[in-house]
Amino acid sequence: MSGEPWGGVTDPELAEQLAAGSSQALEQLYDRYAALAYSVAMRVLSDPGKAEDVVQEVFLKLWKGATAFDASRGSLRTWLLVAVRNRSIDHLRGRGGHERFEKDISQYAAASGAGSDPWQEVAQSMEREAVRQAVSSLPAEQRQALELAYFGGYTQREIAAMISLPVSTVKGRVRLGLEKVHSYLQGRGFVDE
Amino acid sequence: MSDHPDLENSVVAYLVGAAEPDEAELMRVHLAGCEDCRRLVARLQQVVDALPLAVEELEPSKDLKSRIMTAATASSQTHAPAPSARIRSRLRARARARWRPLIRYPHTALAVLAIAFVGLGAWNLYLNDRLARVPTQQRVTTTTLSGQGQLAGSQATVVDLRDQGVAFVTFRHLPSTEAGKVYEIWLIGRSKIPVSGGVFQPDSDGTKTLVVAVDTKERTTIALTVEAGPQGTTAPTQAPSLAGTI
Repeated sequence: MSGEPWGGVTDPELAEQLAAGSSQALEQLYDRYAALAYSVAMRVLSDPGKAEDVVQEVFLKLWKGATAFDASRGSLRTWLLVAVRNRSIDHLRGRGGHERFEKDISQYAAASGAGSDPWQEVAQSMEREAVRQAVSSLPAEQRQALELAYFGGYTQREIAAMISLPVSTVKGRVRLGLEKVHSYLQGRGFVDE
Repeated sequence: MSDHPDLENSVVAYLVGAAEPDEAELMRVHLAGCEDCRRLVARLQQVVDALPLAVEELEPSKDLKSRIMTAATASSQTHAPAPSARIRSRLRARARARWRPLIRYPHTALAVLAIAFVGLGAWNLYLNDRLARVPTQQRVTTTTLSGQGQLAGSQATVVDLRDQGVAFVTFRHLPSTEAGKVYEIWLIGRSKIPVSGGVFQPDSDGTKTLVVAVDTKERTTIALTVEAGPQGTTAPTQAPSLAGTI
């Protein structure tokens, strides 16, 4: 679980040590999250070589930019996994632009207060199985729309063309899917209203 | 909850990164002014951030860790911290003070420049003579690269001191970057993987000279992109607008 001591060091402490240039902190971060990061990259890219390239790229980006990491805008793990997902999609779809999106969207999480550290409310106490259960319990068409958008990196118009449905239907399915996952996790005390 | 469900669905599509670029721009504007949609984003962001946990866990290869640690160590050695704003300001003031007498007395300045020109010419002849005497592999080569697209009209002169493992790259006519963006120079060697050579902002006259490390035995491609500042990225996010191989 995020934020808990691993060998006595919490994620915020690791972030501080990274900012101070500690390569041991980078090593600990790798031991903690590399498998998860690689799994996310593989889910998007389905190519071990490319997935490892993305993981390396993101860890090095964190290393080089550690002094600029803003813990008030999310946990280290959130940053890492979102960055891996976005870089993987950029590689897969051959387009950039996710970096701006990350920054734009994170301001609302920070400003609302509710998501100032999403893992504190969600993943800190959430087991992966609960998220898997929540996603797998979705109706097939909602899960498909959500996975094509989030892990496939497709836009709503591309998804609509793929499944021969109006864009408004795709948007509705993505929204409903997310709302249901939210309700599932909220019912088990993992997320806030 | 808000009473505009269609917009809310568009905001959610934007939240998962599925909005088209034009709609994403609209959503950015809408979110700035809609408290209800900001609350919606804050609520569902928790779920979106949890989605990576739904993947099946896999293990990367054993050597990935050592590759990352080696690259991090190398990066630590090549990325010296930039001087602070106070130090930069002090250096600028010192430079201005150094040139002030010449600005105040232009005739003296011209005379000094003329002497310098003659001196540099003589020094150039001397260096050319020296270069003609050194073995071929120690020669200095100069390459000019021209920009295209957004850098049309920009140029880079690369003075390649290959036997020293370094090259001087002087950019000219570079436009200023957008706010929050920087230029990032990339070096592509045998591995074919672009490695960042550093980030910079051009001086007010559009010039900048950098010293970059080059492979002493292999050809190196030098490329320039515009990336998010202030740190740049670990891999280029766009096709280079100025590139060439030395």
